[in-house]
Amino acid sequence: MICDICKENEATVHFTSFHGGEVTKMHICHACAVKLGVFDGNTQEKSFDILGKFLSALALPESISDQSCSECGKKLSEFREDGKLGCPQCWEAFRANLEPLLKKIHGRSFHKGKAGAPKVKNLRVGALQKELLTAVEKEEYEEAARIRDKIKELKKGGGK
Amino acid sequence: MIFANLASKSSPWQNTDSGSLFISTRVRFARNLAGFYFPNQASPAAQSRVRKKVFEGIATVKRWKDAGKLELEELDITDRKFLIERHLSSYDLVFTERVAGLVMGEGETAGIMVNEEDHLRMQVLGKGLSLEETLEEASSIEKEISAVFDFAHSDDFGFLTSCPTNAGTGLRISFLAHLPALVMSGYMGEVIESLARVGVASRGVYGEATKPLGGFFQISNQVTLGVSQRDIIEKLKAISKQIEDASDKALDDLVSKRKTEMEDKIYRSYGVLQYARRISYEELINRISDIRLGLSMGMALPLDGERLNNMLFLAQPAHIEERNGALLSPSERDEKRSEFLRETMG
Repeated sequence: MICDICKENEATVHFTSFHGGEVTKMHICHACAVKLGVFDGNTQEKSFDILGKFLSALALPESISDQSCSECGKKLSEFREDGKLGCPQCWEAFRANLEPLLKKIHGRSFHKGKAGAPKVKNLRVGALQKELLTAVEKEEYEEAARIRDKIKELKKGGGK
Repeated sequence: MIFANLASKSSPWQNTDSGSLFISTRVRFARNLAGFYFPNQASPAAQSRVRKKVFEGIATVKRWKDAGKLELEELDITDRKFLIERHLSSYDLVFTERVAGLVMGEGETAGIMVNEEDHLRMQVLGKGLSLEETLEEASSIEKEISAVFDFAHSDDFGFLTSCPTNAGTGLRISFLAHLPALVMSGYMGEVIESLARVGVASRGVYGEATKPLGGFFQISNQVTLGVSQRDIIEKLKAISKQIEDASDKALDDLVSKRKTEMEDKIYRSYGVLQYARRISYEELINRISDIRLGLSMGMALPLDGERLNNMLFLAQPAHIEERNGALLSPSERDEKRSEFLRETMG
């Protein structure tokens, strides 16, 4: 795409702008962006999104056959280019490719559960188990049964 | 240019204690609406619908009732740069083809980017090193907003994000640290390498894809999946402590071996800030960095943390332009910057 301003260089900066009651897209090259002050004096430089590319290249060999998400149409080969998924459903569609990738990024391929909540639950289970032991030691069996049921209930609800 | 008012005062989250290495803390959650394509894949019409839905939904949350809502396409280039300088927006939100928006909370400590890489990027900024408090605040914001929207989530992958690097918790915690002693002593390379090995990233002042200047580094967790919020915060806490120790050691070493060289450099920087008639922002950051280092060494310089912050923050290019009310050429801006410095230094 050619720069809207100099009409010479390849445009590398893209953004929307509101002109005369209409939203228009601006495509400008790096040199014109510098003239407009997009980069000047500051530290921002347009990234190549090299991270996304590194990551997808890591887990997705070029030889694999292409496929696409049935929901949004995003192709696996496009994901390899930009490192971005198209919709929530892509996570299922590309699951087999994403799992090894997640392992390389995060060291794991599965979620631990929204923080805090499971831990608090575990703490509570831990505390209850202690109470249970004490109750058994004191031979308070009715109390022990009540605590046992409570632990069961907590554990059952704790899958997520 | 619509931010002239904001452009004459520093953000409240900046640490005024010049003896501390830590400037600020940032916590952000990435979330997407269930049933909608991620911003990059969505058509402009669909992007608009999401923005509208998010703006309307957020307005029903008490905390955000009176929050400012910006439609990015209406802003000029200076305004967009200003939002980045203010740490209210990423580069990718303001210079994008997507229909993007920004919700600005009161006091500039909380904000929500709409249609950045994900539908919602909720962020909270805290003063100095305040990992726990800032996370607590961000979590309560996330909780309030999650009551309004149905977020895309799976049991296996946690919150579903556009990029797999944010999966799971969608949580990125970072702190902005000033580490000139590590840079000067030559240890920073080793620090960055070691951080990367334990899954911690170091970036420039304005975050992703920006280069570090003046010894200011943004340090953040890389791993978001398979860990809890607690794991992330404990890791960053431990790292911040280690960085502080390493920096103290590097500073002691510098002072014992290269004291005169350092004092010379710092006084020269003071002279430049006081007498220059044109100064670029890049040079300014480096000079301020020297002064900040001098203050932490106990040098008697007639400047304090608050004024240093103002000099660093309010002299950014878009800040100068917003106050001026009209575009400036780079050299005009450099002149205005040196005028501003002289006023501030008195």
